[in-house]
Amino acid sequence: MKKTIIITLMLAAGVFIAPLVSAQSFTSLQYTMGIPTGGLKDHVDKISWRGFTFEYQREVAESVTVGCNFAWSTFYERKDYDSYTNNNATLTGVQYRYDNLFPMLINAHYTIGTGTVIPYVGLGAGTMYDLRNTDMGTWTIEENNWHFLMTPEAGFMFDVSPGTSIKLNAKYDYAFKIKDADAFGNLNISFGFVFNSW
Amino acid sequence: MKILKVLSLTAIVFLMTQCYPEGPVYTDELDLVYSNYDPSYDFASKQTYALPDKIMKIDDELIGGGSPNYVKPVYADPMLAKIDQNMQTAGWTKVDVDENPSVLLAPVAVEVTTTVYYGYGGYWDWWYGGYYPPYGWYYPYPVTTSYSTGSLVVTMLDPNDLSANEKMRAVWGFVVNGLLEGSTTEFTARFTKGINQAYIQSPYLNK
Repeated sequence: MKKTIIITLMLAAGVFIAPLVSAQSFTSLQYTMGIPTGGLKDHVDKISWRGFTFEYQREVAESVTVGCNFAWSTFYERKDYDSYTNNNATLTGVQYRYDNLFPMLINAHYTIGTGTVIPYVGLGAGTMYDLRNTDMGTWTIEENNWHFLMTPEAGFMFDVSPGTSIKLNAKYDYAFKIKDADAFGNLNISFGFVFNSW
Repeated sequence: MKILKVLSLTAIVFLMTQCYPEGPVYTDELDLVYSNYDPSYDFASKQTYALPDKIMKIDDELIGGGSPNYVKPVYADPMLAKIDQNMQTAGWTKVDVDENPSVLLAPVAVEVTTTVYYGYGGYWDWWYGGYYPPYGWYYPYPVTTSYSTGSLVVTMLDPNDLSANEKMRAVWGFVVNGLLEGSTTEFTARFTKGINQAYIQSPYLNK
């Protein structure tokens, strides 16, 4: 945990120092799908096809950018008419499960090469707001939690015109266990555009 | 490049507002069946039950100390018949309440109305399927809508097992809950399906 806090502080420092050392910046808007793992998969087993990612990066050294990343993914699953038993009580009905994830993080990217296709790797840290609903009948059980978040990431950028690239990447959001909720993961696959110096 | 920015933003906003999962579509998708029982009770040694021919309503009049009202027979009779059918399928014998039944079944009905109030200046923000311009609309006057849910609550009581203050012990019970919508036939079908489910999920009643 100590290491992750240090990394977070270093990344945060980079964001604020960045404007002083470079003018090059990159803004990304991407469509995002998500594959649930861990405790999230226990709640909603289906892939999320509803999501987007916004990212801002600024170059702080050759091949290194730092910035911030915000995303929203909605997971949804309809469970067929079924029974759920807890001790002596049994409840039967159709269940609707929703999970809205809002990861917010500070991150850094390292780009490899300078061609038309530029691969990169990255690492981020921040927080994940998880709003989880389980609906049955006209009732809902709502849980909301804030998790500490770590996100390794890798992807490619393809230059399509001066100042514009297509970006395809995979990012794994790992939300750490907290007192009231288990750890979980979300593998994001995102596709969209990067605009230089927006 | 500018058009790409605009298109990206438009696509994302459209995606997030129009494609949000919608949840239940049909009335019966909101139906629930809940059951609970006393695991220390010896159901196997009990053989007979009694059931009234009416379903009492828990309403403001009853709560206020007035005389009870009852569910209309057109709704109550099919539900009571379904309870009888399930009890007898489970191996129980129906007797008159004067014939010292092992257990009593007490069916009651509860109706709850929920009112949603938009107030002045409420907005309709959804897209009207491309048929009308995509402006939405607003209400300069107060608008309310409401829905009613009904619950059939059936409790199994042991008249020979009284507490110190002379209350009968409740040993099993179930609740069928759903929206009070649709024709008499649809309503009866949904609630009798719920009664069947209550017995399916209570196998300890079987002889």
